[in-house]
Amino acid sequence: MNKPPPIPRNTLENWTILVIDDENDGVEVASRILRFYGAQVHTATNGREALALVSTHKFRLIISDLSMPIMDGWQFIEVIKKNRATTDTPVIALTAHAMPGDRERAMAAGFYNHLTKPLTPATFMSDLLRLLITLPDFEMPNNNKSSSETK
Amino acid sequence: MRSQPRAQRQPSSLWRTLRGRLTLTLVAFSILPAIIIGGVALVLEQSVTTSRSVNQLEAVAELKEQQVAQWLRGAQLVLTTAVSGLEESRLLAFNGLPSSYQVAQRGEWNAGLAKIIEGQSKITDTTSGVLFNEIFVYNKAGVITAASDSIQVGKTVARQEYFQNSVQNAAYIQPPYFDVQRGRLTMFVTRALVQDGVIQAVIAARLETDTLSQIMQGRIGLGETGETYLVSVDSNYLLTPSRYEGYAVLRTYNTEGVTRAFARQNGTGFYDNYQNPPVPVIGVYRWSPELNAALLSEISQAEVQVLFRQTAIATLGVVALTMLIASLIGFIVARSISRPIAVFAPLALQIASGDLSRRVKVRDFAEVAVLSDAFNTMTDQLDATIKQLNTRITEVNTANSALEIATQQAQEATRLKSEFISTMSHELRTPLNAISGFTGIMLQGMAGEIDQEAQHMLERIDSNSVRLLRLINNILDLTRIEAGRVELSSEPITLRESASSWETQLSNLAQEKGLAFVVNIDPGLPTMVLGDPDRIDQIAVNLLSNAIKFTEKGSVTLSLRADGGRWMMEVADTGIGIPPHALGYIFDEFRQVDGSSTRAYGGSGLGLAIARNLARMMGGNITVNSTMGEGSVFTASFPIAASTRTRPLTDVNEQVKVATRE
Repeated sequence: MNKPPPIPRNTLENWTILVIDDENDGVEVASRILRFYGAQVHTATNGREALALVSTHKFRLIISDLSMPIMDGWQFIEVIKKNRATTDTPVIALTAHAMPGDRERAMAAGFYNHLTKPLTPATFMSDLLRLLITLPDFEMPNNNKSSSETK
Repeated sequence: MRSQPRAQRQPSSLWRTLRGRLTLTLVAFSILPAIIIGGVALVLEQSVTTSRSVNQLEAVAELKEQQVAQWLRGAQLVLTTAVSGLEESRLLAFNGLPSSYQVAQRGEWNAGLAKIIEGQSKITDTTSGVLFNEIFVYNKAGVITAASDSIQVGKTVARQEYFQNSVQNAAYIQPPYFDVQRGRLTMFVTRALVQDGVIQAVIAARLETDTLSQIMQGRIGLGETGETYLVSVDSNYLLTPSRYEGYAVLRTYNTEGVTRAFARQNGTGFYDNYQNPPVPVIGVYRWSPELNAALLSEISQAEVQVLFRQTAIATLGVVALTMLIASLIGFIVARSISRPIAVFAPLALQIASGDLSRRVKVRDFAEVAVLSDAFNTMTDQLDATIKQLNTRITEVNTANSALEIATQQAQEATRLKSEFISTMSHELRTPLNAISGFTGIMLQGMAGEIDQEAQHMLERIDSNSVRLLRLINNILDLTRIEAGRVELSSEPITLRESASSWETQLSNLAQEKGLAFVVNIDPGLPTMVLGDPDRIDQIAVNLLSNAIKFTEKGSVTLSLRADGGRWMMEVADTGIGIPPHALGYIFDEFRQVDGSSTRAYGGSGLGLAIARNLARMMGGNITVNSTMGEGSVFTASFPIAASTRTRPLTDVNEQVKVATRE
């Protein structure tokens, strides 16, 4: 636990990721971890803000909460899946809902997969990587220890 | 009247209605005797009519016979009387004359005879209807010695029909015969003149047959078509005239009656008579030896039939009248019997349609009165029962709606509880996310270097947040189990692999406390069992981590074995043990042995409750044995085959529905 995860710092170097959560703490925890591993992170606090960003940016991955005001994760995924430009963008649900069936429901709605809060750097990254390696455009970077050590 | 259309709908059979059947039965029973009596009467009348006709014919024939006999006796008597005045000796004197007689002598005899029969060439007796129109005397040789017609004297009668009989009998009647010389029907009555016991001469008289015809033509008692006539055995000549025209006397006729009479039979018969065309008759036939002829007395069957028909019509009329009256009576009686009963049907229908106020008031017959009382009692009881039932139904409905409300309330409470737990879980996780997230970021050094003390405290925060998360997860687990929302899969599990994975997971923890971690696998353990691998992992980890948690020194031993269709996971420790009083509630929620130990050893006390609930859902169980100060043994047992309560996890739709409800 007190050992740093053996995940290279440049794992997400070429990734532009959108994180959507109405809780500022949630957004910050996720985006800090993602940025630590080299990702370009944009944030939004609800689905509508996220759609505005999606129309102007090209994201390789979107991580979205489900319960949000104005436009929740369910409505957001519906729009994303209907839009031809975004339908292939993987969207991972990140939610505090941990009741049985939540994962299946999310995947049926069009989410690429489902992660449960609370998240810690160790579990979040390992869980995320398990999902990312199933994506066709994911390349595992060289385990360049020097880059992580130098920082 | 509701009964009206129903009655019209089923007019199919008169026999199916009470009234119809009664009417038919009564009418049948009254008509039947009339028909039988009528039939018998007709048959009897037929035979009576016939036998009466036969009797009548026989009486007539008898009468005719007697009249003929009387007539013949009269003829003999008249002849006897006529000759009684003669001195027989004198007659005989002439009689003895030789064939060459003397005129003088002849004249004398003639004078003598003439004296007797002078002016009496016809001897008549109106009383007996006898008429002799010729009389003469002849000797044994047949030579006429004296005659009312003197021309006849000297002629011979030796060749005549009657000659032989007349010289052999004292008296003789020659039956009618056809005298060819005279061309007519002829009868002779003869009387022998006897001297010294020897027949010396015969006196003969020709008898006119008109009387015979008159006798036979007498029509008394013969009705319209009846007749009597004589048929001679000599060429079947009709001796007396037919009552019908065109059937001459002295012509040949032959009928069944004639044939039978000629065969000397007397009797009755039904046969065709001599007419052309033949007429069927009832005939009485008799043989008459004096006349050497058949006496027939006949009447046409048609006439008898007409008589019979008249009586038959009268009889049938009486029978028909009887039947009519009987039917009328039957109809009225049937109606009077069925009417009071028929009253019940429409009433019963009205009662059936819910009008329970109706009552029967028929008292025509004692039985119907009883029935009507019973009917009314039944209706009263029905009324009372229905009222009771209605009350009961209202009560039950009230109870049901109360029950329904209670059920709804209970369901609502359960739903609210689930919702509350779900929301609580969500609301607890959100701050926990921030706590463990930032703690992790700092511990990882993602937010810059931190000193040793801060690092230590952050680790304490982290382990506590992990503990809090476990507690939340356990509560969620228990809620799911209570709500019956746990889905168990049924997959093949390689127990040896599972055991080594548990060892990997927990042996570090044991080593940290200086405990030996021992794994015993029985050779008889099956390679594969069926079950939910995640849940079995959960149970194993719970039991093993508990054992490590409550053991300060010694060892924790995991044993796997099988016995009788079940496999057992046994976790034995050398820990503090569980006091006997606590063994009863150790599996209850939020109960460790006591509050102090909860605090001393950490943990929510939910793990064992969840583990046993899961084991039971899989068709297994968890039991415990413990000795204070020596250690505890927890034994979880499971069926080797899959639990029947499992449902596949792949049913996404079902999962979605469940999730939607939460």
